[in-house]
Amino acid sequence: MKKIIPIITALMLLTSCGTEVAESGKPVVYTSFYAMNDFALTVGGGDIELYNIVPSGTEPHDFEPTASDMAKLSDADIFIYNGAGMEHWAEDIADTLPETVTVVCASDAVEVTDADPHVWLNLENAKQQLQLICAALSEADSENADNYSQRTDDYIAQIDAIKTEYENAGLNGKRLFVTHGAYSYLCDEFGMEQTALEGISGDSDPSPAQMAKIVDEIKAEGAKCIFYDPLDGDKTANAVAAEAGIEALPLYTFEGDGEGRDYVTIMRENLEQLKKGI
Amino acid sequence: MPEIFQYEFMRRAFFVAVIIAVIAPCIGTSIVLKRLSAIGDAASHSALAGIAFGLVMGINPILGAVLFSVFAVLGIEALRKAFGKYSEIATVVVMSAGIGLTAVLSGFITSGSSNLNSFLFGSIVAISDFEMYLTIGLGIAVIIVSALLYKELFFVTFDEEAARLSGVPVNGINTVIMLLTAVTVSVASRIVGALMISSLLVIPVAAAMMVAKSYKQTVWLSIGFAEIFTVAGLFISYYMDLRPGGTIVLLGVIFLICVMILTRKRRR
Repeated sequence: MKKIIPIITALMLLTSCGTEVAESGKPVVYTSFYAMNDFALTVGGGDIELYNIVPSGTEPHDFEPTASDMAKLSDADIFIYNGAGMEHWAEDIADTLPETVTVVCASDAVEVTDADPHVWLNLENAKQQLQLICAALSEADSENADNYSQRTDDYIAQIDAIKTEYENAGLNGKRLFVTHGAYSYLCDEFGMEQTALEGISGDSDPSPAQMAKIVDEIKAEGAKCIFYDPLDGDKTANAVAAEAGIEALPLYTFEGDGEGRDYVTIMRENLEQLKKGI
Repeated sequence: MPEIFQYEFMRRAFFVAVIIAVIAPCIGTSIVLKRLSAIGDAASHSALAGIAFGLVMGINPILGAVLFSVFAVLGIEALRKAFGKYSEIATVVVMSAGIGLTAVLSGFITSGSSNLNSFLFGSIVAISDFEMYLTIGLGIAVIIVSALLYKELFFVTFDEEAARLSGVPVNGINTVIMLLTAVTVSVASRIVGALMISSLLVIPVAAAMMVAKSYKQTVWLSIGFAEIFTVAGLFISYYMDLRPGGTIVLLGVIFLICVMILTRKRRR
């Protein structure tokens, strides 16, 4: 009996850590990774209590949530993730969360292909995802519904503005050489084509034959640069660039490399890099 | 020039692979004959922890790897004495600590976690200048040490007691072997991968031992074998579009099995 008491006390302490109640009364929103976090912040502003699961700078594909992540998620009001194969861990745990948590799969708002989960890099898709998040927040917190839709509309206007810039940048028909094949939705939107050195997840190194093939294609095409995802590092991109005598330029996937910058800022930086390299 | 050598990255891969194929068996001979084959695994798993540490703290990951694997091999030397007859436990304990630490530290990496993956299986097709010079430097160091200490290494490897009685600084020589193992594993982890390097330490030596009749022959044959399967492995991986690190290791295992079958026939 003496042994059981400390065990029970420890268990009680553990569970009490997990059930921190939000005192602000604002809806508690958890997001899976950077892009979703930024979208939720854009829509929710100061009206929600927002937390992110995958730390900034970490690749969301191969992330594993810790036990305390799971405990916190169980107490959330809303959990937003992208889906479409982007975060396998989130898809797995979405089913195990208690019914009190509203689960939002943001890629439900758009048409997805099996080959690439990076749907938000398409400006139209981003607008759809914002609207879906707006609807979910408004339903959970109807008092602030006007604020949510106001912020969403404002932001969509900004996205439309940058869309015009993209359309006027002469991207149509261009071929993009990339290390991490994450840009197919972006390419579709502006009539570009991507040739990727690695698969979509960007977590393995290419084989020598893949390296040789892309170098030959770059030379044949006369491309000026290869784009890489800064989250994966520039090692293979630099090797290809040195081999082909071209430049390696960063092109953000907005997966976890935003460093506090919002979607439109990142998409504008990407546009600058695209103009430089094409 | 054949197609494969048109590319700078392939020439570099061959150059570095040839150097590693000299270093690895040089050190491997000592550790295999000292019944410490698993030390490469322990060192490489600790090197991974060091790499993760480097990525977390923002210091050069190879430096972190050297630091951690040196600690690991010195730890093994110390633990080995404590376990007496069951000295191989020491290696497994250190390996477990290494892999546990890697798993915990990798949770804190915020500067591109996929970096850690490239250390697991290496990236022989994307070798930077720094890594190439590091490998050359290490290669020279290992060859010089092996040549200068040839007699002492031989003596200590076979009979520590006799070596100690005839005045060889056994502990010093053991430490040198351990340190060279640690540094080799760390540097090679970036190129052939942390999970692959220990097999390059052991497999060529194992094959050489099947054939060789003396210590000297074992060293030379194991270098020869290592060269054969790293170079052949790179060729095969290029033309068949396979991952180079894994191809080299698998080729080594196949080669070893062939040698075993051939020598068995000859003995009969």
